[in-house]
Amino acid sequence: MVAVPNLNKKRRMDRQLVTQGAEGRVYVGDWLNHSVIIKQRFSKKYRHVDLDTHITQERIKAEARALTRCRSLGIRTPAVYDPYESSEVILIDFGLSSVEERAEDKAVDLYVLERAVLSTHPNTEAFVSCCISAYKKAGSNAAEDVVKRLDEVRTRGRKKIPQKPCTSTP
Amino acid sequence: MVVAPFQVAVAANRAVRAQALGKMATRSLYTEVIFNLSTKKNIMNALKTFGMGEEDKEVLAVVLGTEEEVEDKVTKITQQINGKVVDTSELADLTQEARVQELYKVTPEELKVGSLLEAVVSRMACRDFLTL
Repeated sequence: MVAVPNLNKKRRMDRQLVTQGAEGRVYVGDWLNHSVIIKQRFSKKYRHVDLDTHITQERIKAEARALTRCRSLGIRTPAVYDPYESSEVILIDFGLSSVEERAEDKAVDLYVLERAVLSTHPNTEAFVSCCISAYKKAGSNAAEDVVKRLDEVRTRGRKKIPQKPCTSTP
Repeated sequence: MVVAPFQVAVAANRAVRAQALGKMATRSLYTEVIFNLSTKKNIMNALKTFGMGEEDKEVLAVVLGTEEEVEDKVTKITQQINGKVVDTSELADLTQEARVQELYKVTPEELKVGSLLEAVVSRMACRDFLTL
């Protein structure tokens, strides 16, 4: 279980379900006199039990690691209080994260971000384009490679999006 | 080296759970609590850093058990220490924040997005699979 501070400060006696997704449920609750968010991962019955346990544990660890690392870099993520591995629990979908440095991985991450923003907010093509320009600016050579890779990544897959140029300076 | 009682509560919670599961890394419940305050896997090191030292002027004692056991233990402990009992609310005044920051390797960026307590507890909680 990853319990993290509940920034909305809602106090309940028991856990209260906030939301449920494909991987698990998120609750709000009290823990050691603190208001926390608890994420619990389901066990997948279609998997062999040992494999399921292993996968879930590794994802819990990876998420906790990613959250804490991001925090140390100044990214506003929840603080992990208790990644308890036995009852299938964790927080936020960082479960598939890794620390590989390859341009391909970074390009794919950018692509996922791009698609996520474009699909959830209307008229954000210019915004996304500016984000990528800013990324290039901030990262110099390595970033150039990643963005080149990003162009390649965009050509894969079924749904292709036309690119609008960045019209303002970030 | 303690920022707030919560830090110790988290360490204690983990220790009690580990004991119940038969998975303690150290030999006793209380050394386990001290060990859980550390972000390094070396037990001796943790006991040296977080355990009571010869030169220490302030001591934070942790007592675990049922309500009755705790009352009894608290009495026993206070009798053994030559000093004044102060409320845990005064703990914050005694914390050497700079030293804590150094010890837990907390970054300045992190302190902009959260408290020292959160930074410390995150590292403690993720000790077994995180090197920062």
